[in-house]
Amino acid sequence: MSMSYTALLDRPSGKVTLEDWMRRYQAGEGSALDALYADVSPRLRTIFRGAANPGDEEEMLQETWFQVHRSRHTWRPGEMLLPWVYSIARHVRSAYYRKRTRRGEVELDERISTPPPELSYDWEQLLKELPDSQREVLILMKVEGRSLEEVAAATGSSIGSVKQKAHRAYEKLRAILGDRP
Amino acid sequence: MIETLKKDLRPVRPLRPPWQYALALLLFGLAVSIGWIEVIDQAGWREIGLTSWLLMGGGLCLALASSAYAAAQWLSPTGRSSLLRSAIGFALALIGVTLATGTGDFSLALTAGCFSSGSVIAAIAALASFLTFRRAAPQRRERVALASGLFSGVLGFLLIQLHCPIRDPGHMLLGHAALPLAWAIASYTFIKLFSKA
Repeated sequence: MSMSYTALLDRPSGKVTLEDWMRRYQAGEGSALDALYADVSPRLRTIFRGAANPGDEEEMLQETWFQVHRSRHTWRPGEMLLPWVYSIARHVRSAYYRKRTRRGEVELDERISTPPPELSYDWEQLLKELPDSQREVLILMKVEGRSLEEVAAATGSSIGSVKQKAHRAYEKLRAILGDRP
Repeated sequence: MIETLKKDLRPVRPLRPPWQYALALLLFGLAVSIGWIEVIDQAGWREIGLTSWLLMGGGLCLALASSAYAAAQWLSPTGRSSLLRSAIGFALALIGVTLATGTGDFSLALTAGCFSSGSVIAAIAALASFLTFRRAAPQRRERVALASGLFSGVLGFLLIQLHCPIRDPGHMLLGHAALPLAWAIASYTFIKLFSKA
């Protein structure tokens, strides 16, 4: 069985996609997991960026990989890999914040409305001002370069909703930048 | 962390397309229905008019198909579906029930009897659903349980309605039509409490 996966990777174009690695991961190859981890983790970090503290980001990343591992049979060959991983990451992030909010460790609204540092135009700082859903859409579209369809699939929403979130995010950023000297 | 995952690494079989799971569950439902019709007296069938049956039967079949399909879609973290069509089907069935109601004294014992019999059918369907959807993604288990519970309860409702000739409104609502809601809630709660997320 693993021979066929190896053959798949030796195709003339020589390009190994994430989906190819995922097939090998499903076939039980440890090196495929290494390759996926190296490629996908930085993308996941962009999703988790803006967490209350850096430790949270790392914890969510680890939890996502555990969930990816437990759910790996639910990825169907032929399907794009990143929307599938992002869906799991979104679930992990929501569960994580729900749990922390229940414990009273973080107040999301308070965190979102925290005033920005003076004269800071740092991109990451600006993104932290957006609600999670808007920040996620913006990162996927503008940092990851994903299409509307891919973002919709990854976030489990319609294309119209993605457009609306992106529009609101632009408006909010514009307002923040406009308020600054 | 990666090393921990690697220790647990073994080949896995990817999920089949969603329609195959939905079809398997619907065929199971059909088999149970045929068996039920063959073995148990269907006095309820004769007591209710054609319009009511069209609304009830059509609505419940719509609810069965769409809840089975929704559960199958939700097996994967990216699968998108909703229970809107199931809700429409259930609403149609409720209209059918309302049109079919007649007069009669409400009996708690008979109502509990119908609910219990319907629950036996639903429990069998829930077991089949569990076997069909046991490989659901951990993030989606609660949703799958909700849709499966609805499927099981709707099957119980349909088959008990075929059997029971009582047309008292309270009996029909509590003994028959309450089954889908009760099983959807029970199934969701059970998985929420006992499934390792």
